[in-house]
Amino acid sequence: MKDGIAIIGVGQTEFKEQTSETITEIVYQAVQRALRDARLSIGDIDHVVTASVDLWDGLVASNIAITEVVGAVMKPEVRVASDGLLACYHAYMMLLTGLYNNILVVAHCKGSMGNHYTFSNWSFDPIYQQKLGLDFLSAAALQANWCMRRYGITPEQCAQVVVMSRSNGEKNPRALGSPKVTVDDVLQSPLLAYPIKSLDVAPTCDGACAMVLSSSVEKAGPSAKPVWIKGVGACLDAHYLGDRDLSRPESLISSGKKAYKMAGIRYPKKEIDLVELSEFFSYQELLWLEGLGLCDSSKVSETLHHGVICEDGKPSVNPSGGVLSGAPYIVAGLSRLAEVALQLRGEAGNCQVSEAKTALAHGTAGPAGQDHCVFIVSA
Amino acid sequence: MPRRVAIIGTGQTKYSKERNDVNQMELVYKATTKALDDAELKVSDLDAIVLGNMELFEGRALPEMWCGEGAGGYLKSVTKIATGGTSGSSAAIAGFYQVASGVFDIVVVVGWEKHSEGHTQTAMAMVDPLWDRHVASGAVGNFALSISQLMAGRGITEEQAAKVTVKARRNACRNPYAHLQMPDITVEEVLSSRMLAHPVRLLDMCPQSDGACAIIYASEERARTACRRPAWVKAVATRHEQPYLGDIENRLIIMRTLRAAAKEAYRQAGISQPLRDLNVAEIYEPVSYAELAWYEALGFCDEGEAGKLIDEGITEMGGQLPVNPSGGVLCSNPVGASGVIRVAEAAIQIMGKGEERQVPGVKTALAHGYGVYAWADVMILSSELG
Amino acid sequence: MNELINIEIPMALRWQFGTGRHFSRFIQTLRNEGKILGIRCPQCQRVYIPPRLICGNCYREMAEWVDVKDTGVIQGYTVYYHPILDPVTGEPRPIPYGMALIKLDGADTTINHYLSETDLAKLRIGLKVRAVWRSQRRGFISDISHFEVIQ
Repeated sequence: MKDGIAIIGVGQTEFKEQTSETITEIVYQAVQRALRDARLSIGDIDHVVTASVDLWDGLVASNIAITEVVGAVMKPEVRVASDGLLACYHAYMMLLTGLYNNILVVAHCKGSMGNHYTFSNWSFDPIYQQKLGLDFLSAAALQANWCMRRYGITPEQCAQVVVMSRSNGEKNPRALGSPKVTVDDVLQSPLLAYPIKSLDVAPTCDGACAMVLSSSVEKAGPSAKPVWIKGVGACLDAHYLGDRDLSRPESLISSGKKAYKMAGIRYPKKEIDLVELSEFFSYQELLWLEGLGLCDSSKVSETLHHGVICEDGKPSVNPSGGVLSGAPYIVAGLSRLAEVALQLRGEAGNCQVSEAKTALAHGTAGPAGQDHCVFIVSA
Repeated sequence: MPRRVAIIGTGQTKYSKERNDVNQMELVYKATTKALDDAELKVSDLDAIVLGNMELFEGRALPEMWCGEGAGGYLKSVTKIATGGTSGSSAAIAGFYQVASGVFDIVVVVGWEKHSEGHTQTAMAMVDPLWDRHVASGAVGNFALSISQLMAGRGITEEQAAKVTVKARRNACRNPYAHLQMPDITVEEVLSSRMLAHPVRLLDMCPQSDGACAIIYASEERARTACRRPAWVKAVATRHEQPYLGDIENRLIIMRTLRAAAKEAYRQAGISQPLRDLNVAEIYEPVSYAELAWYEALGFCDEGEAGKLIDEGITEMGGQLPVNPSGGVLCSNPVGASGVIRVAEAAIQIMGKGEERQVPGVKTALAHGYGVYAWADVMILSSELG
Repeated sequence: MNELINIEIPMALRWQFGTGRHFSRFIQTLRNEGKILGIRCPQCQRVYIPPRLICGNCYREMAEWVDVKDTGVIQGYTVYYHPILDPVTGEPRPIPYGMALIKLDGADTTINHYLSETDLAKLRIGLKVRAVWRSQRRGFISDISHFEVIQ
């Protein structure tokens, strides 16, 4: 483990609004692509870490559906039942122990299988919040409101974020393929929960993403294109929405700080070249950037005027089109890390950002961003 | 070489059919607080939390959101593990890795389940919709089918299985946390209890319990200063299997996953003769017959000799290798916690905190987790670092 | 001391499950032709029911479809005296009923299915059985109502 832990292979399926393929089939595809990218065979994998949530899969012990295709038969596997980036954090720690060389991380979700918001209602405590009918949409709406008050963020600014995301997404071969929109399209789209309109929301879709992490990169040979993991942080906020200042994403701030510290980053805005966020709602793009110390939300009207979000366009935000362009729940965070890895390898395709050396990938889970995970990686 | 890690404290709630005095978050809180007290730590000493729970049974999703705070998770890294019956043992192993990685020094692992809430049967029925649901046999049925093979192939008898139940339910009387405690239970009573699915009788089956169990891992440096007699982690191993019951040949006889996991764990811990080298074992037996199958798969005996172990009292308290002084899963079964309880009880034995259920002179203990037809986790703890 | 209360929250959910290439073929063949299909691993030669994408032991894709008979041999058995919830109907199954692990002729994995025989004295591993089909087939393994002992 001379140089550290690196991502040596990434693979994902095409994200689709609704695929007729089964979870087993899409996970197999993602795994095959990641293994091929890593130039490894399944026999080289020492341990598998999967990410899926039973309720979304309609299956108890949902990783049972994929043990064969992830190569977990007569091998060790563990499932982290949350966003794939959290599973990746656990895999990273497992590699640091020195007990494993190559770990396969796989996340999957078919959003088309059921009603995402109904499922999300089950995550609220059954005593106070669940019976109110709270779900991730209403929680997000409350948070969006609070942000508008605190930072002066407007629906127009959020709409501009959507426009930019879709425009970027159009250039990304791996994105869902949601059509470009205008600010007016967003503002005229049906109001779901004030101030969130339907085009402010990431479209649900189906897909899987797999990644190979390695602690023995020096053995892999010159063709390996490692993307080094420099810092990671994860953090869970309070559960009751009323216990939190929803406009101040404490757990994201904390995750970011932990990751920056581990990576030796003192001036994130200067040192991070690109960031891929998990923004399930347009306002979250601004809030997450604020929480990561990458953008001053009160100045966003100026920067958006120049077609960027962060001052001077640094860091680049979501060149992939982000989750707003469509990434499956549970897969979202892991696929952000995959995007960032491809960017640092210079393999992102038409959405390539030039000369990116250090990048940040972000994942989130739970209501109004209760849980966050941040990865800092470099080429 | 990974960092050396020890368990320095455990905490358990009383397991029972219905804990309506607490909600789930409070259940988690109770176990966590007890573990912190046992380890003489404050919640601010915790660096990270690992949770094990099968939330579908309670009609929940992402239970770490609501219950994470109960485990001290506020503004900490919280990892939620779910792997069926092995959720607890997977979580216990995951917590070990997180400290062994060097990223965290003190990690609490909490497993819990509140079967009295929600509808366990409904969640258990949410198996593969294209196949398993159409010929559902349920947990009892699945075991019954495999047990018929075990009896035919290994000569295990109903009496021997009943002896396992008697051992468990009597041992549990010395465990203040156990759900089912039956001081006067006899083999005859087991053999005359209601038949569920032949040959599995009511008294052969584990209960469904409410409860939580927490264990606290510490890095070597912290363990040395914090704990008089830490339980050092010497080995961990995991194996998963193919997805359909019918894929697994002669499941209880062969149990290839457990054999392989045990072999790897023994290799890591330098154990060549388990019966001699282990002083106590906490194994995951959802049904009495399974314990006999695990004896063989864990290498406690030769092929076909498992019945002998129970007949000759080798696995009784006072025998050469006491198995499940706690009463095991047969006496307390909050699914998400059950695997953690095995590790906690093994650690308790090493730490000398077993009180009435303490086996004298424990240096090496084995903990085992089982779930989902044939998934296997094995952990070995020792009183010695070296 | 306040009274402890429980609150009830009824929840109902719907899912749409994919069947995939392998199960789709299995279902259609079963429904349209009344034939059971298995799939063989090119490496270990094991014939799997239900058919699936890869052999988990060898990590090899499988494409060789095999006709499997509706007769077989009991590899494990039990008789239920305690009703469990049938996930398809939501009702408890009437007791007693038999179940077995059956190795169908032509397959290497067993399937678990219902048995008409409920007399334990008449059941043992190694008995031959035959499927009893329902009059209407939908393509699920429950198109076979149960198996009956034939010797």
